Amino acid sequence: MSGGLPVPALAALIRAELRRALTTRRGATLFLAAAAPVLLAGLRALSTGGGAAAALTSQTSQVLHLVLLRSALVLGTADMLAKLFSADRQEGTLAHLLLAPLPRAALVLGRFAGAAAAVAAAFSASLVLTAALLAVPAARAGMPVAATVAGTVAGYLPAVAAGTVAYGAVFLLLGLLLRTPAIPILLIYGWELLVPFLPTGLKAWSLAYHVGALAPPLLVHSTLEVVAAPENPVLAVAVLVAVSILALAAAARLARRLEATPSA
Amino acid sequence: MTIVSFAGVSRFYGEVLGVAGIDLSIGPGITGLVGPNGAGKSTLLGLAAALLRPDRGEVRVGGIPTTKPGGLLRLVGACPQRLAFPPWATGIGLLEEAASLAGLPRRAARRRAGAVLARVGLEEAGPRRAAGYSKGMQQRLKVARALVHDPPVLLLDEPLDGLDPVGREWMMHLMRERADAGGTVVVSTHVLHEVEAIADRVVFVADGRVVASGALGEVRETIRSEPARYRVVCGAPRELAATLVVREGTVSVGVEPGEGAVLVRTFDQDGLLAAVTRLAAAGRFGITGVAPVDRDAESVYAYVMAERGRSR
Repeated sequence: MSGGLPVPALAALIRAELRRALTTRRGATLFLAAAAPVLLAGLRALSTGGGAAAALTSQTSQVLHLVLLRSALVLGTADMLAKLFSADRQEGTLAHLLLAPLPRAALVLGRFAGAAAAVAAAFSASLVLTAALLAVPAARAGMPVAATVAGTVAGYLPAVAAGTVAYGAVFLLLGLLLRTPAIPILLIYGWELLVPFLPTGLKAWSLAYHVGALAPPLLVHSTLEVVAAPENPVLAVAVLVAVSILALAAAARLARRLEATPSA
Repeated sequence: MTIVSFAGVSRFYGEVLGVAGIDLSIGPGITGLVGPNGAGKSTLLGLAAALLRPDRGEVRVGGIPTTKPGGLLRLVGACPQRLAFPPWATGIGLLEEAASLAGLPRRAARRRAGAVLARVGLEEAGPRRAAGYSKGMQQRLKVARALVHDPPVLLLDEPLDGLDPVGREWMMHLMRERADAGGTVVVSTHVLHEVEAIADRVVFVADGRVVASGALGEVRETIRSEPARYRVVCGAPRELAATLVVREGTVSVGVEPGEGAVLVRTFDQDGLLAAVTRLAAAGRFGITGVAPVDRDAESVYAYVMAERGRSR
């Protein structure tokens, strides 16, 4: 490996992180979070009769917006990314990583890429299954649903991908910044849940608002919600990319402080 | 030639002192870091391996500062004393990942991992989970982890810990082999006879400070507060003792029971050696040998610590 981009090492980091997330206990919370919308959709599939098939679109919109994007994705990403290094510190295995002959920034960004890929894979699978299960009542009523399911998946996939990266970058930063980031994570989660009820000016100060702009609009609103005009998706992407870059740059800088103390 | 250098290095763990004001240069060969538990040995090795950041000062390996771990860790293979293995990692998987992270393509990494595993005698245990290995096997795996990218500098923290006698012999041989090939091995231990057997130089550490460094004999020479101890083998010990006891600088002379030898403690070792040489040349007292008996690690360590205690 020369002084250029350490490609084999970065590829190894991403592979290792994917393996950890997908095949070990590290990924347990992620999979529970990703399974939540699937379970909910499964229950609806069992309980909804064919007559209610017309409600397919609004139900899909509610489950995917409120459960998948605003709750499960936030919590699953938080668990994977905020613990990316603190879990190693607790297990006493951080030195394995820190002894790799890589710049610390590359170490952090490589692991982020692997963990984000695992989160995106889990929630993409969750999205496909949720969309398919929500379409079961309509299929039972004899309606053609394949194209609807494919359209739903294609519609929400950009939001899942962008949400994974943006939330992931922010939670990675929190995990590096704080020894126990649980409280700030809960505050962020609470804030993101509050977004629908916030005045339009404040909504922009959340990631959920911008992530939601990349998905089909929520069709059913509660009476307390402040409904704003949908954000331009290009602007939403620009904001999410900027937040991700800033958070990752700060995380790469904080990576210099990573240590494996003799007692760890 | 300096390979590992510490310049004005201090490191604290909160309020607790790790090391303070360390100025130290380490060259090729085997250097033993010796000191009691909590002396700062692991901190020194952690700083050199870029696992820790100094609060003050600078640490370099091969001229590269530890602030640039990407370049520095190409030169360094480190074996921390406390290094847990991820519960899911097999021995071979762990080494393969380490080789990949060192920049080897996947297939080459797999080959390299297999070769290093065989080198440390763990080829059969390779597919098993490392967390289930015995302590000795884990120690071998840690060394394999350090060797996987074939670095010229090895930093080994208590590497003989948990090894059986065969394992210890193997580890000492490995260190010697690396040093003889021009490498630099820095090894910490609190077992003094081990450091004597393996190290070309020693660095005595206490309370986070380097209190003495050099070859054991050199360090002994610097300790003026303790008389040198010599054993003179001869045919007439009582007569020789009577001759030597009146010499200036002699602190005490004792006859070893039944051994045909005299133990002399003196502050004038050059004078003693000259006198013994003269007597031997003159054929008096049947003198057949003279040798220092306090240049072993244990004695030198005791002197160093006693001197440090007096100077505080």
